[in-house]
Amino acid sequence: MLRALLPGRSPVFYQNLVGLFFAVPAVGFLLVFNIYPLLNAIYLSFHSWNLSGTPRFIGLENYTQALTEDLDFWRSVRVTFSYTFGLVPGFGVALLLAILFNRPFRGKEILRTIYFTPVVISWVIASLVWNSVLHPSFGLNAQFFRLFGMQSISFFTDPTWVVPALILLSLWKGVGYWMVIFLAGLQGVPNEYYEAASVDGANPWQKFRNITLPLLRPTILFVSVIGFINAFQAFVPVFILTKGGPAGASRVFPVLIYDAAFTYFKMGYASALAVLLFIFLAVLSLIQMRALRSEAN
Amino acid sequence: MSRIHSRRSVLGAFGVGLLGALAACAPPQPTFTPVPPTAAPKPTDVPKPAAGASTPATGGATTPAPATGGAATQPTAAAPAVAAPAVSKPAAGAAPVKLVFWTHNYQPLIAYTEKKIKEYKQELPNVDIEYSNTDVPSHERRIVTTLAAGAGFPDGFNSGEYWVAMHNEKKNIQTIPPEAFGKSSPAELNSLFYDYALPGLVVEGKMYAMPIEWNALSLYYNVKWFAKAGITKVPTDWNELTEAAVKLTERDSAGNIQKPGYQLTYNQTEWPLKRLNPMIVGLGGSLLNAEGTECFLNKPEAIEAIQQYTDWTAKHKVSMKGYQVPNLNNSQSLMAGGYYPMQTTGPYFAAALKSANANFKFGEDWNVAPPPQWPGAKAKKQTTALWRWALYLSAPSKSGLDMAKFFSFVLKDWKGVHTEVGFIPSLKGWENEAYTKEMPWLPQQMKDLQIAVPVPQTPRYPEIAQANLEMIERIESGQAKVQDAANEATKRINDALKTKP
Repeated sequence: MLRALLPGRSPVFYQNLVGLFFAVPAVGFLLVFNIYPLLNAIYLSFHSWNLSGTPRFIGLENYTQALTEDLDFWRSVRVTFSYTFGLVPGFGVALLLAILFNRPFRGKEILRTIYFTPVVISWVIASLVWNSVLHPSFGLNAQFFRLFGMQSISFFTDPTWVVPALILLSLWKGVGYWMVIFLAGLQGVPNEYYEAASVDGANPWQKFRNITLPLLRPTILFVSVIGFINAFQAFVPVFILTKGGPAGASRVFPVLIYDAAFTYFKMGYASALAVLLFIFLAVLSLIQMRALRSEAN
Repeated sequence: MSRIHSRRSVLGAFGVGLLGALAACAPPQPTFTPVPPTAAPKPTDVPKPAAGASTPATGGATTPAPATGGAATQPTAAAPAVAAPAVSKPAAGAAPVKLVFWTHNYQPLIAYTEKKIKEYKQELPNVDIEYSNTDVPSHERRIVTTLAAGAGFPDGFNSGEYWVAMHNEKKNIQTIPPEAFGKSSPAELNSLFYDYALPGLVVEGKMYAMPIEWNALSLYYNVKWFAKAGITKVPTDWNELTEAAVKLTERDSAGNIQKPGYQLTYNQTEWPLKRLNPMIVGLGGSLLNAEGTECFLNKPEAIEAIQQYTDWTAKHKVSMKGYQVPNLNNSQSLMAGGYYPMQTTGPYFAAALKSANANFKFGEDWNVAPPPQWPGAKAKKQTTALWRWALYLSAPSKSGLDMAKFFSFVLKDWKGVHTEVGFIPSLKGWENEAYTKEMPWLPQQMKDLQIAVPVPQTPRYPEIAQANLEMIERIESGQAKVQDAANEATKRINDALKTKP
């Protein structure tokens, strides 16, 4: 039918055209739900708009305000970095668990499922459960401290403890996911390498350092890039539990963007913050990829 | 020769079929012809005032006289019994009208609204009202975002009066049509309401939001708990309140609060500002200057008020952020359930306590007292918070008049508004109704309304409320001293006040 519609073309042309037809829905979805919003956000970031009237062009004013005048911006950057880098030990824990589960032992499947279960629980449910567990009056936290006659810690209302509490929740939720990815990577390492190393008299630590780690580098790269991107975009647990409080002590960047957009209705400023986050994540990902790839080389 | 269907031709046919299926899913173009709107029914005459009532002077307020004595006395106002016009029956074959109405999720209001919608449907079968409610922050957010999007917005909604300036700036709301109340001019419509229910809601003589309730903070307390704690005198100033709260607070062996003596509201912007503002005014200060262009949160009066406010959490530990009791989700349930010994809150609390626990009785179990003031010479003014929740009409709605008629239908049932929801009616004339005899707490509430002051009206209300909340949080959590936190909040608010819309 294509030949009838567009005669006289090469067979490769018709083949490509058929392929394009199949790609159209996916490309359309990407354009409508990814590319268009991104371009619109970039456009709005150069405007001032409070949801009434038409956006007013103000050039780089939003960016200037964010980078030089807004105290909340840099506070939020600090909080986001603390939260994100607080998750790094979780990668190590996930790797150790993956190594453990890569060996045969009884009950491995059940234990693996238990570790993976938090991953499939929604963030909202997980946040509400942890809110109850860590409640300073009625939670398990309070019962525990009461056993020792101590005052419980108000984790989500104490500026010192709020970020560690959120990190703990995120680790509980995320370790299972990273573990499964590491496990998949470990299962791709040929066993012959370990056998050869055993023949050469290598101990477990030497095998880990010289075989496992180098061959797992692509997986580590993937987990770290995705992990950092997800951590920088963390919103649900913070919004449910603290709304960025107390006094901005847990206001991660996405919550700052949300507040700008939906508390103060400064859509242009919120768009500028979102663009800054995008640029930062893109640069961070590039740096990570280059660093890990060069080590591999 | 038999035809061989190559993989390419099969894929090609499949692709064409898929496109055809997608095209078939496209919605058909509408083919109906819009029905022209029916003419608005003629307003009926306003009923004559009840016998014996005097007519107020034109444009003047008719102030209900404060009741005296502890016995339940009726307010002795001289306002005429002005009722909203009766609902006109629709003409046969009247065009269907679909209205969308949103409120916040205050439980007595939800039940009452659903009841009134059913009653209205019986009066006007051609009018369908789709009603939904949600928590206050989500309610406010969805109103603004749907109006900005121009789709999915309600025809009418309720909201606090502090949003009028912001909604006006965004041109989100339309004026209330006087015809809905059987009046022919905005001035006549305004005259149906108490003057001091209207500040901020009437702009240049036109009403932009119709006050369904007006509130002043009073002190509600648990009588038996006070007796058990040996408190014989109800607090009249902030020092006495603090002392009482310390005695009333129950803690476990490790010192954790189990029942707070005077619980404040956290994690939301409205209540901290509402409670703090009159404390500042009581010392002779103010939140903003008269023009609304400069913030005074770092002035001495405000500093003293902020110190007192934050001390309840940080120093005296009679209030606790994050305090929760499983299955008790609001202050009335907590008070009626024996977790709060006292609260400063609005007049609707009487109905709310009843709905939370019908056995929690006025006089035996709870009572109401004047809001505490600054002690002695510190007090420059006797004051408390005034706030209104009002009914608004969305600007883009084409059914503003129909929605306003439903508003008038609701408001005219001031007994229902008052006894079932607990809102003190803002329409004049209810004071002599027989049902008020069954509200012994009413005289105190009306007295407190006389001294109440509202939060300043400004389009920058969200920024001010948020900055205030964060200032309080920083102080309570020990991140900053009062003056430093106030200075930072003042700077933020002043920056916000300078921004153009």
